[in-house]
Amino acid sequence: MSQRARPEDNPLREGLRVGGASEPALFTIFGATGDLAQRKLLPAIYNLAKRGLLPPRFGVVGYARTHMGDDAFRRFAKAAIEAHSRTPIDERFWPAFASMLHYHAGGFDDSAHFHALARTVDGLDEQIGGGAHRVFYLSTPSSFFPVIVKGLGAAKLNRPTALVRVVIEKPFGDDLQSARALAETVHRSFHERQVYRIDHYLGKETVQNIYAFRFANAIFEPIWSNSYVDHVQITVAESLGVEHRAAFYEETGVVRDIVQNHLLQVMALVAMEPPAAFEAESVRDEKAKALRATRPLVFSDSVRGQYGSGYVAGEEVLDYHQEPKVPADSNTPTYIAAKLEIDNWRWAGTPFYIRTGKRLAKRVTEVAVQFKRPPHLPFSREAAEHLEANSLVLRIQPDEGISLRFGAKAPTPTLSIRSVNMDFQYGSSFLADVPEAYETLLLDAIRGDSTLFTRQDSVERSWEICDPLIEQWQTGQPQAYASGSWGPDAADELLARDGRRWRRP
Amino acid sequence: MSRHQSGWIDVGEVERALAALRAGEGHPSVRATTLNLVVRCGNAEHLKTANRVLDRIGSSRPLRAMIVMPATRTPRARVSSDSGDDHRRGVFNELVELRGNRVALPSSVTSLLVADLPVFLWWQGELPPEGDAVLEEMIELTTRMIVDSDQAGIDAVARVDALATGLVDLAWVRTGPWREAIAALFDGRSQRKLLDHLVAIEVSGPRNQSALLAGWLRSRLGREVGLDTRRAVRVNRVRLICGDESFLVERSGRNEHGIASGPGLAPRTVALPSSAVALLLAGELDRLGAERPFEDALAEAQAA
Repeated sequence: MSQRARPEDNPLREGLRVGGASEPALFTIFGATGDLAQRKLLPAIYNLAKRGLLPPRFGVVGYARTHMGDDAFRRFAKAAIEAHSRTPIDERFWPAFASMLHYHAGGFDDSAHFHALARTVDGLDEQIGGGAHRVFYLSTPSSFFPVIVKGLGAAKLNRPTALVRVVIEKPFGDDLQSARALAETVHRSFHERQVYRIDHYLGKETVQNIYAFRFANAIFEPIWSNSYVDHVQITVAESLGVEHRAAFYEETGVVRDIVQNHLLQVMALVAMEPPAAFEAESVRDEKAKALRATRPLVFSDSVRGQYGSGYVAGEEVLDYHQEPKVPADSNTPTYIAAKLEIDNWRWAGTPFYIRTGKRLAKRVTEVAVQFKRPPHLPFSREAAEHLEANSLVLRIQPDEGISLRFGAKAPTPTLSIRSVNMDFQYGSSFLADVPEAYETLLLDAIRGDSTLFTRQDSVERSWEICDPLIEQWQTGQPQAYASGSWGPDAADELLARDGRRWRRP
Repeated sequence: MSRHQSGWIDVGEVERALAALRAGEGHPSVRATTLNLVVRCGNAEHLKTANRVLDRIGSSRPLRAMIVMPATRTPRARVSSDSGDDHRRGVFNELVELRGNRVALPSSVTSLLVADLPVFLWWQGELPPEGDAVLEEMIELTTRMIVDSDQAGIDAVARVDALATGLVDLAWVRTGPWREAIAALFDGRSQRKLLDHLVAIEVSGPRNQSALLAGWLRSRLGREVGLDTRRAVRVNRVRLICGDESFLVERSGRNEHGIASGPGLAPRTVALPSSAVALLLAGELDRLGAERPFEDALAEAQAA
């Protein structure tokens, strides 16, 4: 490989605005003909290219078993982008973009295929001037991860370590033991700093905005603790059922599917201490500390549910057991509500209630910070009887934004105080197109910025939090809840016994 | 999009008229203003451009816009609002058109700024001579001033740069894709060495943009770089002469793309968009503060 100057050595780069990647890169997608590549990866790469954020010297290698040439892959990619991209294809730009796309047919279990891939990648590297960063994206079922990373190592595609990165999609194991085993396999070929575990939730603009909200504003951080916060509610509600994923879901269940990754990661963002700098290790250290302080989920503070029939947005929907490929005696939970306790100075005594499930009343993800009531209200009971405690709601999706609830005097002749909302809508203040989470994360992987990717210690701690409950839930039956509701009654009771109630998102 | 407009009213009645427009929309709308944009127009052509640009910008940046045009009378205003377009999610934009005695305009603008939000001043056309009190008053109000040296000239822009913090020149912004493409030519170590031998550039393009490109190279490299310009309405070609070698970025025909090439490099396609004023301006409304490379390039361009 030829030596390259670092971008900081190029005096013409100083002050350029685009903010994209500058160093040459080759992006290999394993499973390039699969669903994720078609729906997310290829459209994301196309949009990055159109926005001028990819390095000037860049190539994509599609890798899959299907036999086809570069031209056929370009046609395949164009169809995928036409179907799934957030922006339409620009025919004038397409030829330049298509010329970056290449294809290599091969299996995952034969080292000869990886050696052939190495020749392809080396050849492309030479074509674009040498010294390219190499990103290998494993867009395959996780059962192929071990054999692919082994193949990459055998073909020496894992070197040099400063230039090569491997991106893997969740699930990162299905319990602590398998997560450790997977990491061990991956670490045989790649250093931890080369491993980028992607959780697309962390690439969402509104999730990243939690960092900005907490650490760019002086007015919230002083009250962001057990001194002022009564409790926190995190809701990740889906209105859809298992759809065509019943076989997968039967193996997974709600805790592995949502809690172990998305939900605990969001919780960590809300609970973490301010990082010294917004860079990978500082941020990930603080998130890991928050997770380490979180007690494992316990049976007595959890409620599991499974959706029954009902109506969602006016449409009649099936009972979970009636879904195709779901066994009649399935006890797979599709819903969880639970109380999490964080044992540290900031949060001791302030619980984090979480709930997530399928076929709930509507699709919504939000974090609601419920503040304590004032120590004394100098108003009559009648005046303040409709006054609720202050709350701050970070709406992650859909209706992205932030609202703050506070008391205001109603315009009535007698003093009457009501709760009102002050509402910030992301889409009203920033009307420009918002990039897809995958665009953000892929660009970060190409640039070598791992801030928004999950580190192995966080993955393992998340399994330690979830595993005891998953184990206890192997037997027994979840409580049924009507599709289109907010979950089983026991979820309400879980909060009621602490003198609290769920907010209605 | 639904647009409502008032008749000509006193400046003091503007806020009330805007409130009436908000209340009279007939459906809920959100006032989520993120900035003030003051557009200075010197003639009817500027006014037409301003209206066309604001129509496009308002759909992506909620704002209060003030179109300011000198006239021989006490300042009067006409207000309008729009909202309700599908893409805009019911967000409410406000437009105030102000006409009146030149000296009275800054105080009218001051009284109508939305508090606490940044103020952008887009000054179309030529800039007034040195010492102009109205310009100085307007600059005082401004967080960021946007001019166009293709219209006003490099010297006038350099003069204003000394007064305004956060000045930006649309001619400089137009050279952005060219600077990106040129910088990328020198990422490789062997090409980087050739950059040390850069002696001159040949540019086919507008005079001021060519001067800014040369000024940029001089300021980044800290030494003299010659400039040979062939006039054209937009930048079409930049050749960088590095001793016996040369690098080239050239537009392909009337395309928005081109080819970048140089010693040891395979020719590659680069994006060279000629963006409309609305798009350039919208990009500048997302930024605050001074841009050091521009200020350095401007100083070098003026000195040459």
